[in-house]
Amino acid sequence: MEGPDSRLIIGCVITYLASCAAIGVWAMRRTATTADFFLAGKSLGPIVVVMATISSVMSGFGFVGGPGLVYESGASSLWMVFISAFSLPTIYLLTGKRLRLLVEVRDVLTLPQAVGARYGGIWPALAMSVAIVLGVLGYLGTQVLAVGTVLQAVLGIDLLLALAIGLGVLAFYAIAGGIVAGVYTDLFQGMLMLGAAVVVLFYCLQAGGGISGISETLWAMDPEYIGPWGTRGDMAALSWMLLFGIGAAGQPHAVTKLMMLKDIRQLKWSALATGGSYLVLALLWMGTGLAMRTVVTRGEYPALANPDLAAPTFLLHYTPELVAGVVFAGLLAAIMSTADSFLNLGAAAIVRDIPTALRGRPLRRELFWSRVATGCILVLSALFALYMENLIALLGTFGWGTFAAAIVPSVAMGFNWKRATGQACVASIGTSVVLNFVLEVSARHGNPLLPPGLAVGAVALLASTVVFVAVSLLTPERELDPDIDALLDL
Amino acid sequence: MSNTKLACSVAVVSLGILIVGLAGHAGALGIASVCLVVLLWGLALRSPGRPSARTVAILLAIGAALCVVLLLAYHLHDPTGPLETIGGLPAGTAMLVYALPAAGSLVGVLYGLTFDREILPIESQRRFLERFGRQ
Repeated sequence: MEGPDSRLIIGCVITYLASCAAIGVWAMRRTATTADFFLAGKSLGPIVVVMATISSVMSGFGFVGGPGLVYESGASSLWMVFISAFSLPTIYLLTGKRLRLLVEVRDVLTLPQAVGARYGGIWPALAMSVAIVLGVLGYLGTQVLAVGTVLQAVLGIDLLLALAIGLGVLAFYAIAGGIVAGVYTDLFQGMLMLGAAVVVLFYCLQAGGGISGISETLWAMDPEYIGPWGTRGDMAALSWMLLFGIGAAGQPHAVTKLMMLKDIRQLKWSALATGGSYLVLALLWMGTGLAMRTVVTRGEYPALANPDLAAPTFLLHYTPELVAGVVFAGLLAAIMSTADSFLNLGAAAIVRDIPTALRGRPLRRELFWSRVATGCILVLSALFALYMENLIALLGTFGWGTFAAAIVPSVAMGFNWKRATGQACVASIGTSVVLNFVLEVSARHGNPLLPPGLAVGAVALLASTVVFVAVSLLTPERELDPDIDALLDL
Repeated sequence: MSNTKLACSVAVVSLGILIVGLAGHAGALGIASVCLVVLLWGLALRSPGRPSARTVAILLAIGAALCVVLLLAYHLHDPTGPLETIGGLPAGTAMLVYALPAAGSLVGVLYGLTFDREILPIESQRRFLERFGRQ
């Protein structure tokens, strides 16, 4: 291995970026209507939906921040990822059937529109739109920073230039093709990463001396590190299990994918396929982090200055150039596909959901303004990312928690409980946003209000759930529209 | 149990988790979190009608298995003793990496097996779309 300036690695990455641009051109020709832009014309098969879901959920947080967290604190963060066996099927169980059928009976393209149809009135849809825009800006910043980190490591260039290159390609295919470009690159990316995860695990085991060798080395270093709770302890591990186990049903980039499925009957085995495929990707999360820590512990590689460099460093120095090139391309792919999903969600909230809630109709020339909004969000999130430090994993957890606490009660519970009311939806979203930001900002300024390890997002999720049920019971039940009433009975 | 009772149970368990979490009881938080997940599954399955007793029993069994996995992770982890491995990993960690996904995957299997009969019977879908569908 010659190092990060290897021409083969750079060639793979450039080829990938060019492929994304080509898919953008192809998708632009297929994007004729707003429904195409936001929901891919409800034309996707189950394999595309499964791959798009796992690819967007894994994202820069999973592929860059995940190994970084493992490198830093051992097994603690594995509770986020190995529970995907049931957390991702839970998305299907709680939201899949009714959201997909809602698309058949109402002109619903986005999650706030679905909430508006479910609860009526302007406030639930407006609250959901605002929550999504806030969450998107934060979560997109994570992806943008991850793109910059990977390109910086691979190309050996300045972070600003790396961000500019990545954002340029992302802007082109997201603005040109909307979600059509995103989901079809997701299909390619998801399959690429599934294969890469297995191959990279082989090199992880090779570098670490097998799974037993890794365990022995890390146990000798610190038994807690490789123990089930990692160095962050059981409170952090189990509150992450709660947040990621239930919170998956509140991730808009995953939930809205189910609304794009061509045939609702294809939900049947997609739940199992999504959970199982994600578990394969989890090997990359666990393997690179543990292997990198093992070689550092043995003195075979110097300690990393930044845990987020664990995955890029391992790939550059412990896998063949072709494998590294392909995986780097896949890393960029996953990061950018998630960013594309968030751009799509944010644009939909600004162009369609907020105007519809306030004026009763979306903006004129909606497709044009969707593309303008996508560009604006991209620039804002890039500016946001430039002001952030290397907090990919923690920022990712914060973004996940923001979405989970705002969306799980109103959507995952609200579409399964007739007694839920619009006032409860607004109250729970308000609770979640306020708690998430107050607790997070307080902790980052050295005034933690929670016991050590207890995840902010988990607390916000639990509190918003309690508020949602309590306010629903305390406010008058609204008579549902006949189609919504029948949908909730189905 | 009606959906309102289930929703209230979700709220009560959520409140309980908040309390034990703020009190710093991680183990109780973990077990109660599994209970919360099972209640949410129940909420989803209860909506279309009463799920079959067999489905409820399987869901409860999956929940119980997940609780056992958590308890075993605690029980098998002894940082003061020698390294005991299962499948190459420390025994407690093996519960997380091997047993948790195996037990959790049964939810996806159950969803697939009950989809046509309990989740979305094709006749119910046809009637709904005939009455309300836009096309």
